[in-house]
Amino acid sequence: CKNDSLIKRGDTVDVAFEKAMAMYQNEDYVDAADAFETVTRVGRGTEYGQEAQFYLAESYFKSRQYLLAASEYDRYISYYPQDERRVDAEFKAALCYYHQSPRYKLDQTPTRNAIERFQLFNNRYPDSEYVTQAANYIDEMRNKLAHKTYEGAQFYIRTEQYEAAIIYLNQTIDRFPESKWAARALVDQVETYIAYADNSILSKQQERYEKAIEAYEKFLQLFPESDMRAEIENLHDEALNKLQDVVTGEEASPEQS
Amino acid sequence: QEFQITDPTGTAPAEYQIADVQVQGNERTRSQFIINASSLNIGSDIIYPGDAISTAVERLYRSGLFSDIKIYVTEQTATEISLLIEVEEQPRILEYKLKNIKRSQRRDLEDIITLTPGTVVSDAAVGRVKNTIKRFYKEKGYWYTEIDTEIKEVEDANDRVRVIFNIDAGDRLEVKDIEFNGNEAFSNRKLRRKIKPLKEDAWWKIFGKKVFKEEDFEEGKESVLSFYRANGYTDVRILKDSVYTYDYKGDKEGIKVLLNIEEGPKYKVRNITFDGNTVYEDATLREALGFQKGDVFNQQKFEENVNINKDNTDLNSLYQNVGYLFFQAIPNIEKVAEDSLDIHFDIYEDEIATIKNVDFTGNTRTHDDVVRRTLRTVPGNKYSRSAIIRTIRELGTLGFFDPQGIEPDVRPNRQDKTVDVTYRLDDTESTSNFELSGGYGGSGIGVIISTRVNFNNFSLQRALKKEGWNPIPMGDGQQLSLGVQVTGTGYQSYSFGFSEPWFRGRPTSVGFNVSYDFYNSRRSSFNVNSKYSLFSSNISIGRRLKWPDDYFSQRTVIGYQLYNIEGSSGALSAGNSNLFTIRQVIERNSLDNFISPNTGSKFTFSAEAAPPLPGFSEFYKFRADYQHHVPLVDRLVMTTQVQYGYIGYFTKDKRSELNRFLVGGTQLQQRQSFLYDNIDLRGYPGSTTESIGHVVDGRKIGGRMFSKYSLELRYPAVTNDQVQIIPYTFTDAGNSYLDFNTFDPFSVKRSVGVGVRLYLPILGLIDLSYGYRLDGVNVPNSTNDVQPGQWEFLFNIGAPF
Repeated sequence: CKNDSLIKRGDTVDVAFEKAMAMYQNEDYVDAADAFETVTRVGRGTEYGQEAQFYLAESYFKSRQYLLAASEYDRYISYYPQDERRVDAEFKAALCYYHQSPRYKLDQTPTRNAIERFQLFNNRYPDSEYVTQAANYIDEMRNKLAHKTYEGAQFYIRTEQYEAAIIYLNQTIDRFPESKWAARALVDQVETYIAYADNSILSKQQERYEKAIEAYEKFLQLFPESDMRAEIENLHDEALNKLQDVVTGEEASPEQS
Repeated sequence: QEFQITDPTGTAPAEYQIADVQVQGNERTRSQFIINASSLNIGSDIIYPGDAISTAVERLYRSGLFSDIKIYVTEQTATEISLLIEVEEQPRILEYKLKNIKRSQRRDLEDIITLTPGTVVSDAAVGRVKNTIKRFYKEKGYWYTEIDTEIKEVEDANDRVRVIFNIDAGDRLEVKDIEFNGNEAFSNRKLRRKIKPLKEDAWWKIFGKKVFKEEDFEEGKESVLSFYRANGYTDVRILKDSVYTYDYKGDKEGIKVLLNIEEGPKYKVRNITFDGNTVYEDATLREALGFQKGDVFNQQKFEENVNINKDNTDLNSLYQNVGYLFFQAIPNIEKVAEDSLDIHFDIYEDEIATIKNVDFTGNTRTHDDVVRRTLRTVPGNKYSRSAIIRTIRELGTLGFFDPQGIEPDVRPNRQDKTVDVTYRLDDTESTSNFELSGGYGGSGIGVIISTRVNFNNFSLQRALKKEGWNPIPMGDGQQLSLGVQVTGTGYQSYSFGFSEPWFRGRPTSVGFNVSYDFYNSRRSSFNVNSKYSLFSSNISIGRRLKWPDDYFSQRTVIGYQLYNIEGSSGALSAGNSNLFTIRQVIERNSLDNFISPNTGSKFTFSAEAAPPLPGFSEFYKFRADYQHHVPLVDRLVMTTQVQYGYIGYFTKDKRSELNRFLVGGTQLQQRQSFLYDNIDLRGYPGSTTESIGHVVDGRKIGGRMFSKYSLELRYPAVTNDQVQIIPYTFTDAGNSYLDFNTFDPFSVKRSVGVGVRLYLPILGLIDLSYGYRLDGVNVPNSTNDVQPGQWEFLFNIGAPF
């Protein structure tokens, strides 16, 4: 029954470890974590201590306590740097950060940590079987960061703060050129420059329509195959026409001031 | 052949392979574990001399198993090296005990003692604990604490020991005398008051022990020095300070503190000059500095007015508020004559900085948009310190973030004259609250029980997703509230409300409220039995405005009300009454806090119309409200408030007698008079019959106009996040008038009194007031008029401003 399966005072290290392992195998990860924790304490300096440290981390991982799991994997890495399971532990630790990464609308500190850990992993173990997996996770999380930056720009577009919107669209393009949000950001940038120019005083309009056209050209360079091509072409035509109007308008009435 | 002795530190580091590792001195720990833990495995390569050995020693120490670790090189060839690890194992701690000490102190000590079971008992570890204990007692005033240690083997556990600390705390000493030498400008008595938090004992100081604490002493000395500097003694110094025990009153020991002070001259300001300023003129800068020729040189004031002061009128703010982030003012203070100072500033204005990135961290529950829409620092704008300060204030008033935890991180980039701003936030405290309050509302009202659940950072979008419920869908800054109130046996109220301050991500607020109020009067005085109910619903749409300034907002509220009256109530006749209302509100609100504003004002003007549609009753109404909060001294705040209202009618036959003005009480007492528009007035009861109104044909009816004036002095005594306690004193005056012809803004009923506002986690905001009324109120059909010259206790829940 339950009481026999718990570690008691006076149990030797190997008995305690067996009991912890039994819980782990029964998928009772919360109790297993407690038990392994005890074994690591009493079994320091023994083989059981090392095993328990690894399974302590695993138990936390499997019970989705990623914050605790990450720190136990890290402890394993620092205690047993020579062990071959270190590669697994490092990958799992990075994975723990990945699981803590929240939706894009919230603080992305865990996401940035996870990216850093996966990058470190790939630099350290370029031959590991996990490398592709790690690279995919990095892509996924960078896309999330790009999305966050892009939505920051969308806020400024909605509230008609064009300068701020353009700065944030630029961030999306410059920092995450490989993400799917970069192309979208360039289309929005053309549109935003046009809106910005429309709402500007006459003397500033020419420069801002020209910027719209610059953004269009950048798009052609970076994403010639994009399916947003038609959309941006239309915007480009609009910018060209408006620019024409401004220029001819200025010629018609030479500067007076 | 000669022997050559090679100095090992002189040999050049080279790579060696580890040929062999021996371990000595270990009895309980396996050799292989020690080798693994040291990372010095056979076959691996190390640089020697290098840090591999010291790292290995460090790693082994970290295992906590050994009291001593040495690593020797036993053999060394050109490519290989052999090592010997010598360890000393020590018994490990099973537990430790503290003897001869009080229970409460034991618990406090156990919190700060770091002696982990399972670690090695070393002299160093035991010594550390002894020091911790001694420090602990010294902080409490025990200067001569003696500690004996005993280490006992434990029988049934192998290699485990029990460490026992026998503590003799000794006598507790108090500060009996604080003496100053060399002070001429200020008396000992004055200085003793300035050396707070250090205190001297005296026969009349019966509360608290006057214990000597090092940190108090340091703080006290600094405060004496700043007191001198604030009075022009720029050169003041403490030549010598001594703290010693002495015998006072015969053989009793106490502590004496002695300070020798050199005051130096009292300086006055002579000339203030500036160089390099192009944006502001000398006169403007001099005014910001706040010193005139001949003023005593107050160093503290000087530094504040250069760098940053409370009102942001300092020199730095002057520049930083208009973008000059890289601005520097370097003062050069020159002593001229005996006691005068010439101050010269070299001003480096540099260029205006533009804001580039604005980010924030720590929003673990609140979505980005909610934060970003509150930021007053916008990318592309000029840098402004006041914009950052306003942002911090407004993020704080959202109620989602710990106001003390908001920190701006300003990172200037001199190269391209830009600046990045990151706000650090903390939203881990829950913003939802559950309020449960109860109380006695006074005669004719009875016991009040009110519960209310507010979700202040709700997210409707997440509520539609399954994973959003953990436990409550949060993050979009929407408000959802549910409330139930029962008063006595007669009154019940149910309400539900939702509001979204930024509808579809744009600065338009949308909200709706539904409520149902029901009252059943059983009092058989004259009007036998009257029952009435109100179903009310409304939708509101609001916008923040940019003109005339960005504190303005406007709001449109469309509502439908169905009143049902059985029997009769006052002048109101029985039957159903439908009202369809449109209300337009314009508001300017610059309050910095809704529970207890320090500064700011709020002006609200509203116009409401219930048009005479077929089947509907009609009226129109105007109301104006102005309140102003101004800090006086310290934390004391003065609030003045003026309110007026007028109700009129379009037609003669469809007039609604509902919604007229009754004055008196607070919302809690007024709830059962929901057929009227109730105006708060402290010191007066708030029930339908006892409120300030007019008696026509023996029945109380509401006025068509009202006026109200209020003056409040408030002192936020306790203001932390958990609890706020704000005592206040007030003078209120107000009246309701039958019609325009009888309106007289100076004919009012007055009250004075005291009160306290409490903000408690579960109860929410509670307001208790005890007012003395100077005027009386006529109560129809009874002999118990509300008498003047009496005290009225009132109680309310919810925010007053």
